[in-house]
Amino acid sequence: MKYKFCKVGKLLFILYLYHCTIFEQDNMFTDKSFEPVGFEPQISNEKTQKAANIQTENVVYESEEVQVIETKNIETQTVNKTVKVPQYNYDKLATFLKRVTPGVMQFLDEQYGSSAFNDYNLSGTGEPCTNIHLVNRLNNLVMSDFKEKISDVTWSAGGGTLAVSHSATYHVTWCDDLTKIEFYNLSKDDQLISTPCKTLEVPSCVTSLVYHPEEPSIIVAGLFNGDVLVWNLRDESSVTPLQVCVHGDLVSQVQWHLKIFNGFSSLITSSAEGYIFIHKLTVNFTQSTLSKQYKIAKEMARPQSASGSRERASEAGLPITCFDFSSKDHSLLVVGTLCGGLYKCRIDNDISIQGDENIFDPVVDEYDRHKGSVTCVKSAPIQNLFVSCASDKEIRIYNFDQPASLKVIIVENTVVQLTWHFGNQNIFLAYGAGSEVKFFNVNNGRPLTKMMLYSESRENTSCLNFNPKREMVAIGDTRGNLEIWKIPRNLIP
Amino acid sequence: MKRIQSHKGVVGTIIVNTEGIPIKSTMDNTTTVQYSGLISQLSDKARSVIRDLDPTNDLTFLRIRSKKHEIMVAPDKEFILIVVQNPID
Repeated sequence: MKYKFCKVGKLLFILYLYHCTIFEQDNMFTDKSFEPVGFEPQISNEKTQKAANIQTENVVYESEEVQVIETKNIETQTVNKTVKVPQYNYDKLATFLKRVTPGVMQFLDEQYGSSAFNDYNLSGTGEPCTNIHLVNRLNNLVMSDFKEKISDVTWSAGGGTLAVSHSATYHVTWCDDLTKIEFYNLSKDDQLISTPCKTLEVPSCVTSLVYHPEEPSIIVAGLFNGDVLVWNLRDESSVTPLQVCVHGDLVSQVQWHLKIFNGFSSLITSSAEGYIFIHKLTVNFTQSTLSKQYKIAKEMARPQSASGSRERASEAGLPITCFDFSSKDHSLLVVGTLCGGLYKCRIDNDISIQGDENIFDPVVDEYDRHKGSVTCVKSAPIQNLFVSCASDKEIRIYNFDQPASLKVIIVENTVVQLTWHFGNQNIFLAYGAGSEVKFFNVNNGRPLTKMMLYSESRENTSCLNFNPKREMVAIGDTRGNLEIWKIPRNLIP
Repeated sequence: MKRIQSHKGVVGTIIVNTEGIPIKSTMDNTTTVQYSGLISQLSDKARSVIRDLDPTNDLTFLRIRSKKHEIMVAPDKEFILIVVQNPID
């Protein structure tokens, strides 16, 4: 191929020379130029080259270490805090120490080696619990012509004996029923012996029965016929009671009070005729003296200032259903009446009622009334509160200093009695119509649903009394059933 | 303080100023701070109780008996001396 191109070039060049010589001759006298013009050959002889290398992938090396320990370094930025040294006066400190040291040394000497607290055990160290269970149930009543109920139960001061009184459930006229007060002993393993160890015959239905808080042999009963009788059980041969007084109507409540007279027990009795009597018991409970008489006068006759002087002694007073003394002020009591009134009374109120200088009106103020008859009032053991219940199915919590109630609790059934729990002073129990005994917290007025003294065989609960020494509670009902429950001292509020 | 500290059964002695800050102590730092804060508050409360009951009265000495210790507190206007004793030591 190359060779052919060379030959063609040479031939063209020869032709060109020949042509030039002809044109020089012909154009010797012409203006035509016959100068040769060069041109580049269009044929390239450059070689095309292609690299045919072997294409390979990059070799990657990976190395994995076994049991790699990762370490992290965290730096914290701290600020140098300057510690303030409290400044004080050395002289004053020295004076203080000189003055205090002898006394401290004396107490240290007294305290070291003292065995005063060796046998002291805290009563409240046990775990709080709600373990309430039935221990005993018995019914010793023989059903007679009239239906009987257990009207009241009370534990002796030592907690070893339970006294049970009976009453007819309903009275049409005057009561002359012969009833009895039975005494049951507790065994060592806290079981109630079913046979009564002692029985007292009573000429009328018992409305209120209370053991003396300190003397285990003294018991008082208020009767439906108005009698108030005190027995001394120490004398086995004699069963004749001391007749303290005779009210004109049924005795609604009896209560012992140990702080009115120094060294002597006083007995406070109230009746449905509106009178409250304070009796002073002397000579080992063999003599009784009527110390003071009070009468709850009618609201219309008494001015708001509660002077009581307009009330005449001959007029009937308001029927008293219940009363209780304040735990803080021993001369202050609250009285509930059948008309729903709650009266703040003082036994040191010396305003006598017109017509009789020996009868005093104790009322100093009135609390908000219930819509039904007041069935029970109970003052709180430590707080300045009292709770009341009435036939209007309300439980109210009052402060002694405020006429308006702090809280009103609406209940399903009528509550006839209230009792404070012996261990937890924030809890009170309410019972009455129905077989349930409900627990309430006085601070918020809410029922404690986890705790309930419920029994199917019980009808309406008529009475309840705690035995703090044995951590038990006795419950009586309107069918004559008597139940003994074990209840812990430390209840969860 | 050495005299009190050397008494039998004394676990520690602390002197606190009116602000509840420990000035002198024979106990470790944590215990000292804890005792100082709490006891000074209790002392103030006890003093206010005494004064509320009777404005002419004042707190002179406070003894706290616990299962493990007896804490004696001697309050003053500017200082409070706290002595912790182990009575069965």
